[in-house]
Amino acid sequence: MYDAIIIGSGASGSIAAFTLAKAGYKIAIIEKGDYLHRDEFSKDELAYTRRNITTPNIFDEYHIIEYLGSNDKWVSKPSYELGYSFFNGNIVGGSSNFMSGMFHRMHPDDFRLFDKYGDIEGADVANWAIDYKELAPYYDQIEKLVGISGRYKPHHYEPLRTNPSYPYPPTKENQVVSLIDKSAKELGITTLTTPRAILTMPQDSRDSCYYSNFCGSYGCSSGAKGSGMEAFISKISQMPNVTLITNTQAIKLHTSKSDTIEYVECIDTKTKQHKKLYAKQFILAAQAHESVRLLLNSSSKEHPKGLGNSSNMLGKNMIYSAGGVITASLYKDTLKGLEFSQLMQEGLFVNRSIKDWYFLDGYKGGLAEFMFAPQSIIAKASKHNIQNGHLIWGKALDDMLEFRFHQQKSLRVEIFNDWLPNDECYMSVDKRYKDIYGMPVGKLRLYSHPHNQKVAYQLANKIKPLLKQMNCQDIQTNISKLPPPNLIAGGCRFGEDAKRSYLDKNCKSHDITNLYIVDASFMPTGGSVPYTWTIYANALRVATHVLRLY
Amino acid sequence: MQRREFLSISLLLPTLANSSSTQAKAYQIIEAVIHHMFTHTRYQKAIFGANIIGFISTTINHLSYDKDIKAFILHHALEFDKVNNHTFLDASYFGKEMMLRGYERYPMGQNWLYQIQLLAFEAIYSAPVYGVNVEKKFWKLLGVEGGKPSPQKRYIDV
Repeated sequence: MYDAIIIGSGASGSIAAFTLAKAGYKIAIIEKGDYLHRDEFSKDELAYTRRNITTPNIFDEYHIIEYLGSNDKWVSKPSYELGYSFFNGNIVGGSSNFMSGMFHRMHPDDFRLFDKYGDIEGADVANWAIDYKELAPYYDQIEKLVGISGRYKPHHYEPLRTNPSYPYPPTKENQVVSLIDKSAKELGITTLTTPRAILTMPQDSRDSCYYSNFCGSYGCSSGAKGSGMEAFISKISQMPNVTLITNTQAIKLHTSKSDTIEYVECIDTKTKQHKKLYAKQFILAAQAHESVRLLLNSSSKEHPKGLGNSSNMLGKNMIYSAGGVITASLYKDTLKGLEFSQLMQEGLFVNRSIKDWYFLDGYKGGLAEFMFAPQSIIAKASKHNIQNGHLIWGKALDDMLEFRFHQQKSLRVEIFNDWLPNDECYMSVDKRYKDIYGMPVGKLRLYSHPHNQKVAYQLANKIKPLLKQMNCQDIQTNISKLPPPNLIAGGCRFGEDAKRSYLDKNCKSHDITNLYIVDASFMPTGGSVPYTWTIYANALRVATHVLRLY
Repeated sequence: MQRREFLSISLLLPTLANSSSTQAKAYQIIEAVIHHMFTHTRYQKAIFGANIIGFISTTINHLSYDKDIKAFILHHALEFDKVNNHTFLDASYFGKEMMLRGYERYPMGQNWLYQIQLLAFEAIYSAPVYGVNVEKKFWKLLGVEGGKPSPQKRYIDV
């Protein structure tokens, strides 16, 4: 029997495992995918971005997606019909292997949005069960353990820091940042250097960034990226008290007494053999929607609505990242204030973010992040090849490729704002549909509160003048009601009231004595930033709490 | 959200390329379409000498490739040949251009041609280990560098 079994080895599972293993716990980590080591990662565009070799085949494992159709009626389709997969990086370290590493803390007011703004009609906003001060020490620790690089600049919406300096200096920057900074200054906008979970100096066995030009969507070959695999799992996987069980999917949690999990039933994804793993504590870290699915599929006579679901809150209030993307182009012949060759220097980061509109007048705003469009060659070559209704080929195609790769640089601004939790955005399981392992698939009902789009468009309208000031062309805004499938949270909301939340303040189930959840499913609201730093910090907080108790 | 609607008809029609001879014919058509698309480009010579169809047949038959898209591509290759009375392969450059532009007028046709062009890009711009972009010749022709480290193994062999 293990002291603890951690289900999932992504950002949250990795730091939880690391914390318990270092304290001498006998642990097992269950990961449904393989263990790809640093030297097995390459910049293989075909494998990683076009064939998605680290996610399951969409016909074998999928979700049922419910969304509002054109006539405002709910439409329900399997994700393989839509080409809309909600699986992300199923390998040791999870999707943190493939992140771009933009790391932001949530603002103190993000922890108390209900108190700040009150009820919003049609939304179910709740305060967090902890405040910023309680999470801040863990943000600090993660900063050092993961190795965050950055340059602090005081800003009225930047959370207070114990130590203003980041552990590492910022990543090298493309000179486009000088154009962004200059243009922003002319408009009275403050730009900030984006903190990144990317080492700019070696740390332990990890090398610094080598500026490959292919970062987001790809695994890191130097160990610089602060993935759960590099920062935590690789440091404990050889310890005698740690068992890493790969290619294994948890399919059901079984209770002995009604309030205690006895074992997790798993399936070997290669041999299809079932096995039972016993532990004193179970720590769920499978990514929000998959954790919810496991709990719903763990229903029993004692727990007919899903394991530990007396509150009926399991699967409710799923949240995503609202916002969207603005794309724009800088052209060689119209570029001002910068040599085109500087713009075309490859591999360097566009480390700029804007928090000036993190709070708007009377409601929450969000964050803007600048970056270049993905550098993947196949993706870039195949984009926008339909002109005047016709697919181009022959000389026209040749000319277009030459222009696109050598006369133009595409810029991208990602907008992050809160996805308001609401009663129409939830997860259930649909027992009519089963995955390749016989497990009922998750059903995701996706409803974006109109406020989400309203805020996103407002932010876009504030950013576009800056892009015009930079002399960007072809500025296009894409704000969608459908969420990106990689930033998923909620479904096991934490809170003090056991009737209105699934987890308690320490992310322990209200109903089950030995169940903790450390992935993003605990979050009642998500802030207007990418979640990863918060997930790492909270998982460390919860694992530290477990250590104190047992 | 309607990404797959263009695939639906191919799933309903019975003429799916499922025998080896019909599949071989479908690949012949696809290869000829790719050759046509890259005629009068800097890639023409290199493409005509490359085993693009070897790459395509290997990758689209791997389980990581979307089986609906594979069926769509192969089916429409045969359908395109059929509606042109099986004359495409022997047609002149201008004859081929007419046939392709004619087929492109239909949304299904344009989607099919787009998928073929995409497969061609995947073949020529993927890493050298995949066998078409030998010695990075297509990256060099485009004036770009692929990412480092370049894969030493194809995902289909792992």
